[in-house]
Amino acid sequence: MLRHLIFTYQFNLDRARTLVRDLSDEQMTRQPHGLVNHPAWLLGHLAATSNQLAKMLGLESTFPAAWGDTFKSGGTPSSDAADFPSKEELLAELAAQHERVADVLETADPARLEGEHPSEGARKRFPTVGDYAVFLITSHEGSHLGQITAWRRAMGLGSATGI
Amino acid sequence: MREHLLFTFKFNLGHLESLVKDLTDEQMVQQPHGVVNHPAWTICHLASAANHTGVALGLESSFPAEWEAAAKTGGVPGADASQYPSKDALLAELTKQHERVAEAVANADPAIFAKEFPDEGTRKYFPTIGDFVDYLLSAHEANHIGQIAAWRRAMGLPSNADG
Repeated sequence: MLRHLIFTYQFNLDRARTLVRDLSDEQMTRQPHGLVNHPAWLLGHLAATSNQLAKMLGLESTFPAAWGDTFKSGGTPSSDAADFPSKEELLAELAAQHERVADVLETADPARLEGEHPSEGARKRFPTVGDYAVFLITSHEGSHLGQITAWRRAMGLGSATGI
Repeated sequence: MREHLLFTFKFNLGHLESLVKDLTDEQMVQQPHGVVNHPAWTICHLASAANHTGVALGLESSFPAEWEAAAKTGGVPGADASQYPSKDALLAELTKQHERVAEAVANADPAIFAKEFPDEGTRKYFPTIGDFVDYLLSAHEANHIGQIAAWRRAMGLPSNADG
């Protein structure tokens, strides 16, 4: 089952690349018609989230410290492209985080995944480390990528698969 | 790992319910600012997709034949509320499909997940039944749920029904 979940994680990364491949850095931070979660924030948020999962699975943080506050959850992301890394930097960081999270999951002790989530607050929604990990690599990413799909429509852009 | 996948599948359903619980049937088919995948089509499509997943796992199809046109992929969904079942009927069908697919996944012989996907066209994207099932239960649903979250923003609604 794990290899199929890793397949979905890789599928998500490929989809992220497809959804933004025709966008300029200036477009990446646009917020059309109230859709405030733009692609630059979303890609950085997904990379930060994978880094958090890596830490929970015993790895050191490798997410750039200088990017930390830019991708916090809650509030409204800045629409200034100068506040964000370039699209290429964001995609490279997301890919790097994906690679190390996939590696650590493939070698993780199953008992670790059955353990309860270490944060009492998060545990109310995700009782175990495995619940949290599988959600993050599959549905959490999928949900945010769906926001980019809708964002493209609000931008008046075509379907990404038709590029 | 299978129990964590099923956790995410259930999480998706709860998330989706929270995103549509304050919507009227008329709102369910609106297409603000070019965001054409409205909640009525999305829920119908997800129930149909879950039914397809059930079929891939050996279940009989139980998706209402008269709803197939409303769930069709490709093109732009219609904006006429009379073309769609009510929100309550759509959610009931999705919940029913979730229940039977979750049960099928929980009880499946592990060997089925490693089998080659039977349809040649689908196999190009999802080589095995496990790849298809894991994606459909997690990121595919979440992708469409993320589109509803963005649709709410385009509608000028709060991020979810609870504000």
